[in-house]
Amino acid sequence: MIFDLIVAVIISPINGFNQLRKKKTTLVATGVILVANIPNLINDLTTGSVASLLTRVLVASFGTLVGTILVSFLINIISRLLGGQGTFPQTYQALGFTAVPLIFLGPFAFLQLFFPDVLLLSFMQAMISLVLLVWTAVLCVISISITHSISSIKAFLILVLPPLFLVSIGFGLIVALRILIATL
Amino acid sequence: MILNGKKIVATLFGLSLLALVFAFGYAVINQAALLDDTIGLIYVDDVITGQRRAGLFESPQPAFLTQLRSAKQDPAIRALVIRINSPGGSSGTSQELYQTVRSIRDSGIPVVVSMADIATSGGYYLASAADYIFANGSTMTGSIGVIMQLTNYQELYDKIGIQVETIKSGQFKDVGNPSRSLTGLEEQLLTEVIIDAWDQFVADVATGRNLPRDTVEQIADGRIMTGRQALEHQLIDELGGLEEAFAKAKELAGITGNYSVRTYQRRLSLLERVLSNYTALMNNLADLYQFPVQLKYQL
Repeated sequence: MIFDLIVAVIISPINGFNQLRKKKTTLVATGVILVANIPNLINDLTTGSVASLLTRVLVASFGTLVGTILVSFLINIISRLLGGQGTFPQTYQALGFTAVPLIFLGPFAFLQLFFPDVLLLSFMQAMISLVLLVWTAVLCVISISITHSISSIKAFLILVLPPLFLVSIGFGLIVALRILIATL
Repeated sequence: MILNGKKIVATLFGLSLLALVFAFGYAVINQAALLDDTIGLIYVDDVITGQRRAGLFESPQPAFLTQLRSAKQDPAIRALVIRINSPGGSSGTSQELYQTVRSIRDSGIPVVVSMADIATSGGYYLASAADYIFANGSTMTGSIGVIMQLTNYQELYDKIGIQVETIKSGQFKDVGNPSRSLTGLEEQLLTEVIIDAWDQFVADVATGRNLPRDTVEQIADGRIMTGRQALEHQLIDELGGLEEAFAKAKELAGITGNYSVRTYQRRLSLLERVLSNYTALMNNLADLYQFPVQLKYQL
């Protein structure tokens, strides 16, 4: 059942997210977020005892979950302000399922363990990562649009405006700080 | 047809999921070194510097010192091999690397050095802290000494009409000022500084190599030597390469069966590899603006 839902999100996202809207799959969405984060965890693993490694993994996974919850909260608020009708749990589980394509990085994470210095593998992984990120972004737009019953353009703006706003603020702060330091 | 497509996607997804979970499990077990006895391997293959590489294009590789500390704190490590290919570098960091290697050795982890093409000055300083040193016959090593080079741009400044005005709190505060020659007192001061740094270098090499100080002093005039000459002067223990170094590390650690090798360099993504070339260029440019007075254990 859950597997069908995941396959539906991959093959026919509109149908998949429509099905998802009517179901309570928060736990599964959490699982997808955690599994999709595994390639990052592998890259960040340093040496240590099993206990210290597992603690690090738990802390990093918790951080990813908190980050996703915050993003879902932010998107839910903006969507509601723009006339959206979805709830926070619906937004969270929809965004969680948008990470499904990232699981296709699995074979590359596997191969990288045994051939860490093969540049072609790194290149392929980078290219596939780019494709998967675009795919994930498209799924995000579709999921917001369907979950909140709003147009795709609105969903796109909801997705793009907050990061742009934050980046602009960050860039502005850096420029201001540089000018201040140069003046002093 | 759609059913087949679904089946293919489901199979691909399932396999990817399995690969991901397996990779994760393997990485955890491997990093915790539950598979074999482990020998650490650290490459010191650049100029030794204490500078942090800051900025957007920060070098992704941890400094040699950070790698040594990671090895020291790694509970799985039974022995450590350091592969040196460095002409040396800044005096303070070379000394810190020496002390760190000594502390690793004192904690009961045997340290074996393998010299590649060059391990001179600060590179040799670091090596001398190890339990055992291998070099190739034609490896360039030695160069036990301290150097400070100052550039005097006075004539150039005069030609292009630049005048440097200096306001200082004491007579030695602008020592090394590139717009003028050194005074006699300044030269004396800098010579004393260099002799003191050289004295520490010689003392540490004598301690690390378990040699009388006189023996080290006789060759601590900055001379470079081949691996074979270094063997005659007891600066190294044996001629050999990385393979011999691992065999010795295995022997010193008492490892009888298989062992795995662990490096402390983070795996780089493609983007980081591309950016690291850019970083190297930027760092070379940044090096042009260093403080003029610098002590170096460098060839």
